[in-house]
Amino acid sequence: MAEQAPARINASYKLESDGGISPSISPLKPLKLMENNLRRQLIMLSKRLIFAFLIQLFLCTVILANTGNAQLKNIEEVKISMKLQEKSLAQFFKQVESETDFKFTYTDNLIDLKQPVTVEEDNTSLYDVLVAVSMQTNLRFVQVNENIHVKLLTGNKRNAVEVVELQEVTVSGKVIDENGEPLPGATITVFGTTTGTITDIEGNYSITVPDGSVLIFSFIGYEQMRVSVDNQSKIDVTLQPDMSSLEEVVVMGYGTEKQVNVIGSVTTVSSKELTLSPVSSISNALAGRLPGAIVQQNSGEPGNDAASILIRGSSTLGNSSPLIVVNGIPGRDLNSINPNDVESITVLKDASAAIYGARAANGVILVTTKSGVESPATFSYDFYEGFSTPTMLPEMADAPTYAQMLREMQSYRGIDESNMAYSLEDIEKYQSGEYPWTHPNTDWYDAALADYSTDRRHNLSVSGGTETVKYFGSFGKQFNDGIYKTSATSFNRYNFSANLDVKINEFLSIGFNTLGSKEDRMYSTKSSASIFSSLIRSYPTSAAIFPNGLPGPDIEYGDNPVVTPSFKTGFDDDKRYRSNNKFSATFRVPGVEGLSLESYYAYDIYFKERKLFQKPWVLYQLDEGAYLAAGNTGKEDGSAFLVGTSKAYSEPRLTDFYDDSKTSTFNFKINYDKTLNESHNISAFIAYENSEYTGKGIQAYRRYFISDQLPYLFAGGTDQRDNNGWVDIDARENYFGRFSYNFEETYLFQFSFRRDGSLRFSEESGRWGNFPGVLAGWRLSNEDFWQDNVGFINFLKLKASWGKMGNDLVAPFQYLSGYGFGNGGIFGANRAYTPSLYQTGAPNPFITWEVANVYNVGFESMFLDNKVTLNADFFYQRREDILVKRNASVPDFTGIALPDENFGIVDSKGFEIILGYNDQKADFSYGINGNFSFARNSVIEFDEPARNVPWQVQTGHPQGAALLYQSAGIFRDEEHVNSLPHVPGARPGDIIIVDYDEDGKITNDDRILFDKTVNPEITYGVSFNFTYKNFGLTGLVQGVGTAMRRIYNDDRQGSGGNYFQYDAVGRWTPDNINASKPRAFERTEEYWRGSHITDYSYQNRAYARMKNLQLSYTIPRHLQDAVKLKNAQMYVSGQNLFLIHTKTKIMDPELGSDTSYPLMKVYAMGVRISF
Amino acid sequence: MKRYKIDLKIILVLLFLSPGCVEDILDKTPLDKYSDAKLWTDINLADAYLVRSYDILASGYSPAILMSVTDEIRFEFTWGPQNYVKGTITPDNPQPWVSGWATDEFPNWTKNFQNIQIINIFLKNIDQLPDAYPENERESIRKRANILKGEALFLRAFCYAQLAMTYGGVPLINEALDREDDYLSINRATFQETIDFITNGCDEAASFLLDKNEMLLGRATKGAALALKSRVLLFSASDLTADGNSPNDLVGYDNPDRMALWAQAKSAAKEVMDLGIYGLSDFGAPDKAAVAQNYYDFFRQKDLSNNEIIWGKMYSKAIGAGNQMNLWNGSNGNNNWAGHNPTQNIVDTYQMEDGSNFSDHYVVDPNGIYNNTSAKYQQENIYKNREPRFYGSILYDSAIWQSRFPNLSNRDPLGIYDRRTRISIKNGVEVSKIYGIDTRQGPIEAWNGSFTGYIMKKLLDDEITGKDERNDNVWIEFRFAEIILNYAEACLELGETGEAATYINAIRNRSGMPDFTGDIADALRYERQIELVFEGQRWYDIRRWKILEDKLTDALGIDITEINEDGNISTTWKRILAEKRTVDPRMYWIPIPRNEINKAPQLEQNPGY
Repeated sequence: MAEQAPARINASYKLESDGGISPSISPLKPLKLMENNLRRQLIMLSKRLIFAFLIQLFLCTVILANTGNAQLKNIEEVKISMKLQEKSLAQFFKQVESETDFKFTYTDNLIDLKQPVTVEEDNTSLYDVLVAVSMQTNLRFVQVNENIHVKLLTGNKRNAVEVVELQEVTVSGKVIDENGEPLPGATITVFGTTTGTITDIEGNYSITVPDGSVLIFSFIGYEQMRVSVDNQSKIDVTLQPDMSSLEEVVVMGYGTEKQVNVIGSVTTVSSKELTLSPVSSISNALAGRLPGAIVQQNSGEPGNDAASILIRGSSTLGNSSPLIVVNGIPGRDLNSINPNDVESITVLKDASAAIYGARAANGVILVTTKSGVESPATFSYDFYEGFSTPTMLPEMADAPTYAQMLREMQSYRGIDESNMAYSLEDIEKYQSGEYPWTHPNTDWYDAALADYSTDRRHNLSVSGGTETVKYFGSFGKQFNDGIYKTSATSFNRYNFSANLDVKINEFLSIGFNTLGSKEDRMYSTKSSASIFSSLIRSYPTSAAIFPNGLPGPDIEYGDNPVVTPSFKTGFDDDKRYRSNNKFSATFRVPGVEGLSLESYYAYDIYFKERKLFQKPWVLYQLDEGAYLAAGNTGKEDGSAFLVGTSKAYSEPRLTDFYDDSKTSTFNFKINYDKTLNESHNISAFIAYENSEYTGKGIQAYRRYFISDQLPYLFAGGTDQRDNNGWVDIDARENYFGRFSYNFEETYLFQFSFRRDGSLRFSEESGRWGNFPGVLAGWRLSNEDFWQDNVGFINFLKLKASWGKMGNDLVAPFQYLSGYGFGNGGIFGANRAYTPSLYQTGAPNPFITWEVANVYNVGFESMFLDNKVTLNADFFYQRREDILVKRNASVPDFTGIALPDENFGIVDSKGFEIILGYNDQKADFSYGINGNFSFARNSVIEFDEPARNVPWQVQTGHPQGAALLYQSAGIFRDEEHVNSLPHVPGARPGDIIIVDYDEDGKITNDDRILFDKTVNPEITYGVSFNFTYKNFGLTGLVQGVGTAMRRIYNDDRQGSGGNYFQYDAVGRWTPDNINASKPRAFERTEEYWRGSHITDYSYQNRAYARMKNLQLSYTIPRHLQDAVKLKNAQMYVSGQNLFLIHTKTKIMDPELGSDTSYPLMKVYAMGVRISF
Repeated sequence: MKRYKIDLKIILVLLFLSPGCVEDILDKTPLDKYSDAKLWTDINLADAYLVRSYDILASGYSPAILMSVTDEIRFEFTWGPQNYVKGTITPDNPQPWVSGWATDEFPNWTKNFQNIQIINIFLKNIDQLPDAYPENERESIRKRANILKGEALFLRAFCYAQLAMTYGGVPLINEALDREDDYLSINRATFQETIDFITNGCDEAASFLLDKNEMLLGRATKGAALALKSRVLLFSASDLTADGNSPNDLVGYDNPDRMALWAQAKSAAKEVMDLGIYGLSDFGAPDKAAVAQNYYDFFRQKDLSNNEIIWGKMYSKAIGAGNQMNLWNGSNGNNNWAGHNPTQNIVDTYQMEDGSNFSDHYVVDPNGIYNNTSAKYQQENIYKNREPRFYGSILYDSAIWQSRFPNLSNRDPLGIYDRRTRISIKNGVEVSKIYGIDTRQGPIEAWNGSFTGYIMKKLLDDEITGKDERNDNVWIEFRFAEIILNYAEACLELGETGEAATYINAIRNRSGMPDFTGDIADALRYERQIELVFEGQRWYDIRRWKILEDKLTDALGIDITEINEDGNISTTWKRILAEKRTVDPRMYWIPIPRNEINKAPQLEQNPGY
């Protein structure tokens, strides 16, 4: 990391240096004031804050204790000794500051801090020392209180050093932008205090400050400016647009890089964007914001709603999960992190990831959490309360429709009237709704799901620091409730995060970072898949709840989804604890400029305890025979005829699970950063890293609990008790380094190399691998000829890279002939269980990792005064050595358990384009930023067995291309059936299958490959933001294209479950023969639902949705000042608000399956306060 | 003071920074596996290795088993077995002869060859294993190793028997193959070579093995090896492969010496009978009720100790190793799935208790209604006065089964299998119509109701209720009754009718039935069908007798209606179509999967595919 510029160090101030008699308001006072003013407000927001306030009070006390009221001294009284030979002015300032209570203040850019000074004094007054320095530097020093103002010496040298008494002056002036337009709302603060004001609509301001103060002018989007008052009464300021995006620093693997110098394909999401979405899992805040990342959320279940992430699609036949690196430690969990704790997320997509070597091929996601900055303690409190409701639920047939369809289905099967499940009279009764006891018409979703569930997050953080100690700490609590009416489901996550950076001395800094989390997942004992499967299946003709309030019958397994989401089934209490800790130290080697040693050690602990307590529950059924025999018709109360049955389990039973794992990571690094002749910038490091993982777990089971009161093992019976355990290890050892060079930030070059060792592979062959990466860039816009000719293109950088990376996400120890425990047998008169041993895959001594060669070319550009951004990246990746089995060449009769071998090849290519427009007009700023990504893969080699017909050969097609029959409408009538090739037994109303090979028969050879898969090839996002005065509106539209998915994951429609309304509307019937949808069917018995699945069972997964929208209002500055807030914002926000377009008619297109917990639309209200 | 402090800090940091002595953290072996070296030097581990082979041996219970592709059963669900009985089986889709959740116990190509390779690896290593032990232990270890070797040889022969009886001649592989071997030169052996390989294997296995009384129950025995040989020789001597009309030598003998084949089959059965430790279990004949109960109970046994059982597979629900026969096949009215539905075809085959044919007493009119025409048994109910094994095997309308869950115990206090539709008519107006609890219109999981009107009783356990509890009754692979019938059939084919009749009647009498009357060949086939019903032999029998076309006809069921017209109750039993079936001569053999022939084009496909 680059050494911090001395100017910056000096420009900030120290908490403990507050002099007490300073006219500025002590940093302590706002805290105390704030307590009273804010407490009322915050408590109104939530009672849960009391805890947070206790912490806050505690921290205040700490600060109080540390702040003494040092006796103010005059520079003439302070004696100092120092020996500086030709050292920089900055160093002189620093030494004085460290040995005295004085601070130097100055206006930026007026003082040359690099100029050399020589001071050799022993016990001399500071006054005299300053005089000596003044002579060398032509500077003037004025002491005001504890501050020493530094100015250029003009005129009389006798006044070079003076002590002035405090004087209040009133300063006024105007703040304008670079075009001369006034800037209303610009902030003016007095350096070192919290005193300040803002400009009015004309850009004018007025403020009374001690003379000698430094004013800081700031405005969002503009560079901050400092001006010394120096007895001036009028200060007009022109603020320059903030080009800091060019100065912005991006977190790269094992270091940082200035944004302008990045030559890899790298995308960054800031903390601000991450917290726009009211979601609990970070992954869900990423969709649409990361060009090149396919982010899909398959379930909305609290605690299980994290999205899957693919970087540039799936490039391997094996595991394509990207590597997650949190604070430099690879392999940590992403979704247990509190989004509020994250500073930035960076995704490395090309050779820039090569520094992660054998784990980089699927892309690398770098998460950096927040740390302290040099400032007074700043508390931030964030809170939102959200209301969630499903984005889209399947619409199911109602009772009359269902009964009618069942009749149709039975009639097609030749079942005569007397044996039909429903008579015409039944249908009338369902229709009438007058017979709730015998003929209910149930909307199960309505019965089981609540209108909305609640989500909530509290987050309190404190951050601050001095030159030597910087700290950040936060507590967060996330809560998500289940959507069921009687819900056992809930998710609570508690996050604790702390970061401490301590500068021990000039050479040595140490750091400590900890991320802790506790996740409580509570569910009923029925999975959400089972609950939602029974929601689509449950008969609309059977009662969810009888009119007297008792729950109705199930289809099977006790699955009445009004009851199964509740605690009546027992509970599944899943708790997960994580403690991720990192200790680090950096040692700048004295005497060698730019050389430093860095080391860190991380120890991560994961622990999970899960208690699954299952117990029977009671469902009721109407004894219809007796009920009717008693003269009832279906309208009269049938309570007396309801018979309860105990369901699912014969008695309570318990399974306890305990799993834990530990990972340690050690890293040692030698850095060298140097700039030669102000134009050759060199940055290099070499490093060593190792990591070790051990995991183990046990589970224990007992049944025959005599009561459900004590869900502990000892209270269970001993018959049929069972237990088991597991153990797992992993380790890696790596050597790597990187050399970056640029010439005047115009010609950019980077080379990285990593040598990785993994215990997953054999020592003789495959354990060690080498992974180089080369990147080059050219910032054309820095060239003179460019600026002279095409200056309207403000910024243009061309870049190209190649990297070789690996993917080691494969089963370890495949090189060994190992025997694991398998299903055993029962032998002997006492029927004892004997475990079996089986060969866990045939060994392959040559096994090693997958290798990816990734090529990337691209450019970054800015036009029209930096208002337009246009970036593009094009990539090609060949993934080789993918582990596949030699299926084609080894017949089954050999019985050989084929080992994985490194010979599969997958090619993928694609591009990402980013186009943005951002502008600011007076008090209105706005921006629209879009990204579009395309990634396509094709399988080049996987030892495909010979196919019967060429069009079924999968090589050359995307992975997962589905082999399906092609549908071509619906048979109208018998004649139509006979006129076309058809599956034997086809009848009118069935799906027409295309006779692809035109042999007059529908055979296996008529199946064709459909190249669309469940993973979209196109992903895009458009984000926009508008800020007008205190109002802000941000939004994100996100979508995917070219994907398809199977519907009917649960295919028991018919006698085994209700039909989708989609299948009911417009279906073929004898009266509607020109239909676009097939006839009423029975489960998988029709060929097009069982043996001959066609593309009719799939739907286009393309969609675009309003992913996120947030409207915020920032409390006006002067109101904030009144209560001494630094920032206060209220907002309303929405996630997954609506689908702009979708081709999936049954359920949300993003959802994993028709039995998944639905995706949630979230409406949230929140506040962000910092003080 | 200050200087000293700085030095200390730097020293501390340098210590912290130093990588120190890192042990070689990559040099580790898995903690949850044994290595090759350990396995083949420890007899206990080698033993556990062989247990794996027992476990994957395709034999036992699963949601779909072999009876589902015969005239015994109409299979409830659309997958697997229906692909065969509807005649749609092809090399591209050889369901149900592929492994899967539901068809795991179907003997298929891939699974058996995988097991053969596992066994061949065992055989390659077992002979050297005792050498790893100290001299003084070596002898006893070798003794144990030899028994294990016998088990392995039996298991391999069993796998080949399943393959031969399903596909005909197959590649014969008797040593562990290596990835580098040339597979394209390995071809299908002829049927004859395959059978010889199996019988030799049985003999060799028998020479190493001890018999049941000296082996751990469930382990292969001498009796099992000889029983297997008997079964295979009976199959190979039969019409399908030995009548001289086989399309090629992969699925039959060229110029078979029929008498010699039958003689071998006979002596193989005799070998088992001569072991002297097996016999027919006493079912309590002539008490017919006792026979019905004991016959049923015989298949509910929890272990293999009964001396009629030669070899089988045990389960134990106490340690999670049960099966779910009740769930898969029980009635919907008890929340079960009614997977294997016994057909009307087989129900009508059961004789009356006096040994006369059912069709002598009942005729089916053109409307499918059963009419009683008997002078002797004047019962309208077709389930009365049938032979005892009917009551032990089939669950039919109104037969007592399990007590109902509380919600239906009022309606059905006895816990019967309720398959009738009760219509009440008063003054000519239908006032109510109530479907039986276990029908496909019943109140409980109707979509799981049996299509035929019957569910299995044999192999199920009425003491297990609900969906949750597992069964742990044994799967009997070989029992003495089969050997007796094998012997009788071979005798009959050799013209020794007297000997044949003796053993046929032994089976009948044991079940409380009188000696057979009429044609002895019919009698033999009747006994095999009825005695061994649902035991997985029927598919092999109807093929080897070449009667597939006659037997794999449409599956029939029953529809029972009870009309109460102003107090007068009348009941009708109406035969219905339960499943349309298509049979083709190619279905005598199962196709080698297309994928396999694509990988090994030298393999000749079976005729007709």
